[in-house]
Amino acid sequence: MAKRVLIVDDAAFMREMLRDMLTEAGYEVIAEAVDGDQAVTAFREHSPDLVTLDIVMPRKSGLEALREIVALEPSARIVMCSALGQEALVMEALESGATDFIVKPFKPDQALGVIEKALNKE
Amino acid sequence: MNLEKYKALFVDEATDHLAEMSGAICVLESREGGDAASSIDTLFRMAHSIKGMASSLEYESLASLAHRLEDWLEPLREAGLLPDAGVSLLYEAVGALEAMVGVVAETGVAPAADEGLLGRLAQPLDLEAEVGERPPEQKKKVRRSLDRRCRARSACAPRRSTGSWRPWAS
Repeated sequence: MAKRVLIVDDAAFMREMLRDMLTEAGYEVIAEAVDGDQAVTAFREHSPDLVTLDIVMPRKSGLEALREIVALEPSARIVMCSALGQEALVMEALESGATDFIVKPFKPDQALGVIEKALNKE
Repeated sequence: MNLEKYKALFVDEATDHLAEMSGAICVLESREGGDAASSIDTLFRMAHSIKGMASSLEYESLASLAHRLEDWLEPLREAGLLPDAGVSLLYEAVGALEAMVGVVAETGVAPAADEGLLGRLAQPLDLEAEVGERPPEQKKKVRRSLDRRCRARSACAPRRSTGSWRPWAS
């Protein structure tokens, strides 16, 4: 059965790119969210196997959403989507319970490798 | 990867972002609408988003300009204020990004960024000078922001390009 992924990013471009990459690799994208509030709601609703979570978003940031999701489900698999220059935020996310991270621009092989590893993590 | 699909998406979304950025600058310039912090946050997020999209399509010149603008905005975002001296440079940067996205829409290729503009964006605004004109509570906020920025710069690890990096393990 395909692993179910929730994509969270405020940029339609990035959501589309991730959706294409994940679908082609055999994952099921069960929902998409455009900010932290929607992310938490979609997580409650769909209980995905993995979340890809952008950091910089309106209303509720990726870090805030991460903390809420981890409080709801401490074993949630969450891969942060960061960009160059966000090392301090990535460190904060990992300390707050993120499973791993990928850096934009995504290289599909590397990004899928990180996602696969996050799903298989004990 | 269907590059044409992503290029069209990029042009549409970047154009929307740039319109939103122009609106945010107008709000900041007019000092109406009250919340400067929210307008600066919008500018920062839009620049960040354009950087990510442009770098995904290897429009490096566009990504560089958006990245430089994002870095220039970061201390202003933390302080929640934009000194008057920064308004014209913001307009110039957003105008340059609009022109570059326009060229991408027409030709599919990103033109070179204006080196002079990149250089000006590399110079942070003098927020300390601005502090002198602010009420005491805002002065504290700006100084805290400047302190945090200094600490963050000294604490940052070297940049890496992809996952599984644990900064504290190196």
